Order: sequence, then structure tokens, then C-alpha cells
Amino acid sequence: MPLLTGGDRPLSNEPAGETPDDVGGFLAAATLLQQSRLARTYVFVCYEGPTTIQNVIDALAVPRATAYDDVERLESLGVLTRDDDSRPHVLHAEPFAFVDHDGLAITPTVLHAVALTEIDSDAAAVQNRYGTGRLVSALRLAGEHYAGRRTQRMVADELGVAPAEGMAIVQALRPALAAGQAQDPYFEEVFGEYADEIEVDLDGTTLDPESTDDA
Amino acid sequence: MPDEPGPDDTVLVDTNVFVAVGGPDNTKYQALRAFATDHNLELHVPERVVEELRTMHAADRVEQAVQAGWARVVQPPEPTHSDAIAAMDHVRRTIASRSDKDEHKVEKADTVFAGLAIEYLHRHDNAVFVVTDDRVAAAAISESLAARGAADRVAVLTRDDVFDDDDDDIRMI
Repeated sequence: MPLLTGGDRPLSNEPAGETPDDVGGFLAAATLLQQSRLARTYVFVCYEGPTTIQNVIDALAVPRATAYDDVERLESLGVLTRDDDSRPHVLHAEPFAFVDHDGLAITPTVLHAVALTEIDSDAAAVQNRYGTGRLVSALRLAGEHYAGRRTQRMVADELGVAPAEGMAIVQALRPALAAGQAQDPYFEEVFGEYADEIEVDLDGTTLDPESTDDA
Repeated sequence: MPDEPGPDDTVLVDTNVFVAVGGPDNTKYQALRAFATDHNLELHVPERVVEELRTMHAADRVEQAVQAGWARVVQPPEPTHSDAIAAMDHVRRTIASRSDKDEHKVEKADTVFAGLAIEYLHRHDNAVFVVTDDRVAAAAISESLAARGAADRVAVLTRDDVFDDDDDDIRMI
């Protein structure tokens, strides 16, 4: 998957000669933002891959048919590859970033926040009540909290939600922040200068507690 | 910093603690209950905290604790002692500076626990503990209490002190 640009704003360090496919990338990013189940499978393969469909099924506890459907859709969106030469097939997903002119970034960390709506009722509540845009804003503000720059009540206030809702979403997004900081090469595109200051006391190096056994 | 809290101490709990521990069936909630019962505490939960929890239909977390005898809902005094006011001002300035915000943008609810802690100290002989899951507020409150020379009788407790996370409990995706 090529690194994407938002219009004429190039991101960094992509090998020269590779042509970003802006429209395809935009479609992929937009689709994943809107479809949390697909985002979940993508982020898992992106962070844990190369991996197999069986690992996806086991780690995400999804039905086999669902996993096959999702992998096929992610392939057709151009964000996942399946190596048919090996048995079992090996899945691989490159991280990518889509950044628009205003600096809004869609990266694996953002898609992870969307994916969390599949398994976390607080993340799902914010998305259902206020939309995906607000969830993404919550992610950035949660990053500011864990960088020591906002109290949880200030996050709630800036997000325009009740204090308890703000506290709940800040806490719910910890896995996306921990894993993103450890594994998303475009983490800084989302959090800017304070990306390095974010401290979340979760192990973000693996999403799958069983992964070390599978190695 | 005072030792572990005891039954005669005042232990004030902020909203985010009851948000973080989840419902009564959650292991973190049970860890909070164990912390309270092991130390023979009746956690002080300000009425405003219960109101904030009510907005996310989570007030039952406090109500069950009250029924079980390890928490009570309190209407805390308005901090009026000059030291208490100064402590709140200190917290407000600290948070404003860390967040690059005007001081008036800092929520009063984030500063009030420092004021309350000092106010309780002036009214009672025992130690005061503030329990919060907000590390930014916690750091500002601790700093403010230390600056008032109150650090030997007041302590701020956070997640690690009260309901330690077991990473295995947390689904990462």
C-alpha cells in the first residue's frame, strides 16, 4: 500500500518512484473509517502481520466466514495482500496515512480507535451519539491528556460531552494510543509535537496476548 | 506523605475513579471495594460526583457501595479557608500552564479537591486522601499540597495505588 498524500502535501520518507494512488487510498481510508469491523481486521493484520486468517479468527473471535469476507474486502480496497503461494496463506497489511490539507490524519491509530467501537461500549456510545468525527477528535484529545496537557474534564469540555462521558472515552482509547505509539509509523501525523510525550501504561507491542505462543 | 488510609481518615473520590472501575461485576470495581474494605474505609463521594455519574447512568456504582457500607455520599464544605483557596489557585495555574490555556478555562471541579483536602485538614486532625484517575489533575494537586506544606497529612492516590490494572483484562482490539 503506498503512502498517501492529501493533495499536494507530501508525507515523508516513501521510496522515490512509487506513485501514490490518492483516489484509491482516499476510498480505502473513508471505507475503513465507516466500517469498524473492517477497520478492526485491517489494524490487527497491520500490527500483527504477517499473520494467517486462523489467527484473525482466533484473536478477534470472529466467525470464519466473516474473517474471509473481510480479508477479501480489504484486498479489494488495496490495503491487504494475501500470499497464495504459502499454506496457510499469509496476510500482510502495510500501514498507511491519509492526511488532508488541514492536517487531519487517518492512520492505523485512528482506525484502531474506530475498531474499538466493536468491543468497547464507551467508544461505541461516543460514535453512536456524536459520530465518527467526534470519536477521532476524542482520540487526539485523549492523546493530549496522556501527554500531561489536559485534564479529563478539559477533554470532555472541548469535546462538548458530559464530564463522565469524556472520562470514559479517554480511558477507552488507551489501547489505540499504546499500540499506535509502539507500532504506527505515522503516529506523529495524528499527535504532532506531543506524540513522544504520550504515556499510557499498557503494553502496545502486541494486540494478541497469544501471539508469542504462535511465533 | 501519610501512611495507608485508615478508618478515621477522609478519603475523597473523584468521578473518574467510578468511571474507570466499571460496574459492580467488573474486577476493577471489586478491587476498589477490596481497597476500601481492607482498610476499613468509608469512601467520601461528593454529591456532584454522583450527579456526574448519573449522566452516563452509572450512579448505581456509588449507590451499591453506599448500601454495602464502604462509601457514603457527602455534601462537602465550600473551601473557604485562605490556604484552601490558595491551593485551588495553585492547581488552576499549574493546569493552565501545562495546557497552554487561560486559567478561566480550567474546570473548577478539577481544582476543588485540593481545596477540599486543605479544608478538611483544618477541620479534622486526621489525614486526607484524594483518589483520582486523572494523572494531570493528580500531579497538579500533589504539587499544590506540597507547596502548602501539607504533604505529610494529605496524599493523592491514583489508579496504581487503588485498583491496579491487570493488562490481561484489557482487550487491545
